[in-house]
Amino acid sequence: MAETEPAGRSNEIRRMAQPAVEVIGALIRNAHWPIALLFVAYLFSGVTAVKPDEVAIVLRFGRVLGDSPGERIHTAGLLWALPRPLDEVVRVPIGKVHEVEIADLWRSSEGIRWSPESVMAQTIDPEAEGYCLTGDRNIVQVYLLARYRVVDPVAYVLLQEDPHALLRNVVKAEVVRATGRESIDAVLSEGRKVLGNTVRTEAQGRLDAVAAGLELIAVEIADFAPPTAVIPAFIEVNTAYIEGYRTYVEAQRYRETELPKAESNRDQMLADARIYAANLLADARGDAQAFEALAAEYQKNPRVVVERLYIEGVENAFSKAGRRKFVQPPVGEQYEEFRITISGRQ
Amino acid sequence: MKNLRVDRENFRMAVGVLVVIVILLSSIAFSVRERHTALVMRFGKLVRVEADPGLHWKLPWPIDKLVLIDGRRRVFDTRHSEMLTRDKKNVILLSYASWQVADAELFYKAVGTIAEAENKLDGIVTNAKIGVLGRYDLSALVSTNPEELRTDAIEAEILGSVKESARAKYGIDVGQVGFKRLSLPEENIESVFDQMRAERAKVAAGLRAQGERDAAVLRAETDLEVAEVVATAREEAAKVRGEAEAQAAEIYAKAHSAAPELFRIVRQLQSLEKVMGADSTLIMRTDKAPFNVLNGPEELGFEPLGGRN
Repeated sequence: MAETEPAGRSNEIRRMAQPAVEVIGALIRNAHWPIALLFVAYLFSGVTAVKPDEVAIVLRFGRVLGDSPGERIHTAGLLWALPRPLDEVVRVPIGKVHEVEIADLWRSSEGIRWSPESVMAQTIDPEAEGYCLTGDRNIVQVYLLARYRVVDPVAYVLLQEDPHALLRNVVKAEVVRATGRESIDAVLSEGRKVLGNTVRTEAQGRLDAVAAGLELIAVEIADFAPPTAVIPAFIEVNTAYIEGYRTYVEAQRYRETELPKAESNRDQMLADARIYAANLLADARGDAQAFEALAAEYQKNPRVVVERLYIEGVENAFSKAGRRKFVQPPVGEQYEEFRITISGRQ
Repeated sequence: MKNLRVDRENFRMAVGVLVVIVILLSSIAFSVRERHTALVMRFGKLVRVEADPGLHWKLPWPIDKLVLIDGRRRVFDTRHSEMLTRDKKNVILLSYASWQVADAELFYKAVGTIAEAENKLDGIVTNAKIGVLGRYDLSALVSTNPEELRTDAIEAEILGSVKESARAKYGIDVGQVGFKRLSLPEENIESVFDQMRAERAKVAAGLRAQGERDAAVLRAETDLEVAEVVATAREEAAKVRGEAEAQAAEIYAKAHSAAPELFRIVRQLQSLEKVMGADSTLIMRTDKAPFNVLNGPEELGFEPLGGRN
């Protein structure tokens, strides 16, 4: 019993594996079909589709296939190439706009503490953090964005090891040069746009000088600032500008209130003068008429008129006086003694 | 059944032959990629340089061995190095160089690997920088005066001296050198910051002063204009008054000329009336009209009171 048991088990295994063994055996017996299929598949493995936003270059044994640029570059569509290792298809995304951020010339420390002490004490380690020196030996830091695309696929993909690294370097070199020409004020005021354009043109020149096959579309100065340590001083300039402007605006406001005030003063003075003149003339005419009437009376009867006037006048005048005293005429020529007490009114 | 067996054997044979051919070919054929160079070494000795891209032949291993040199243009960054300008300013120039293998054989013998080449390049570029910068002031690199700037010349000089020795010694072609960073030693930064702060303070003071100056000018102008307006107004008002007074005087004169002596009386009475006030005290003698009436009617030429008995 104990001896037959293993034999029985192996029989069982053999019986269970039988279908699989038969399938594999049949495959081996008829192997030319799958192998032939695989071979055909291999033969056609070089055929690929080139997408609309890319071009392809075929390398046969490492050499670019085709003589003229038109023959070398295959645009969108089906591409018939031989299988590896005879042919190699290299795709270049020519429609794609590459965008690269260049932060080498920007402040490196992220967590800036805004306490005056730490800011004032700061320096810049030239290996840890980059910056640009302006023409007047100020320091500015720049954060750059460059957009570019491939215009010469062969140069881009075959003749250079890392065109992207070259691009970053030439952009940086031109930013360093462009800021070195300008004063900090020029750079901070209208420099951003001008600088971007200059850098783009000059960096393109450097790229072309080594036939990089890249076209710089734009260089954008995304951020532009003096180092954090001196930012308070720059803010102070802004404050000073605002203050200076405010002082001027106050003077303008003064002018805007004072001039109308003066004009209204003038109008008032003229009006007063005219009123005075009108009154004066009216009085004069009235008085003149009254006098003329009196004079006419006087011509007819001078004595009566004068007497009447005299008495009326004296009466009027005397009735206004606060105190009236009467004294007898002296006996001789002079008064012997004449005393009078006048108590002043409070 | 027999046909099938023969077929299968032929097929196996074909496959076997194909595999052998492929193995054989792969040991004697090699392809050279664009911008690469293959050095064929026979027992360690260079026998051929294949620089043309495409298919080439060699003897199988271990007789011929291949060394592939990548001749594509590449970029390399120099290390930070401090140098002195002619005006004794320390600067740190970080540069890049665009280079490629120009002479694969020389390159292989003198340098060998890309890493080693970069090491060598770093040395010669740094030396060239130190040499060239020592002949220029810092203002040749950074200045607001375009006539002082010599960046192109400096780069060209460095490139010139690097190009020559790299080509002759290492078979390397350096195509471009550029300064991608221009820094000052850390010790100098504080004084630069101080200078920047001082400049900003000056600019700020200037802006304030300009604001105040402009404001003062405007205020002064305003005050002047106000004074002018008021003065002309006063003048005009005086003229109006004066004319009116002259006219009034004329009217009076014309009226009074009809009876001058009457006018004198009227005028005197008027001034008497005007002079008199509540706090005036009149002292009059009773022998003068009209107060002589106080002495009795006889003063006026009538008979004394009490009848004439």
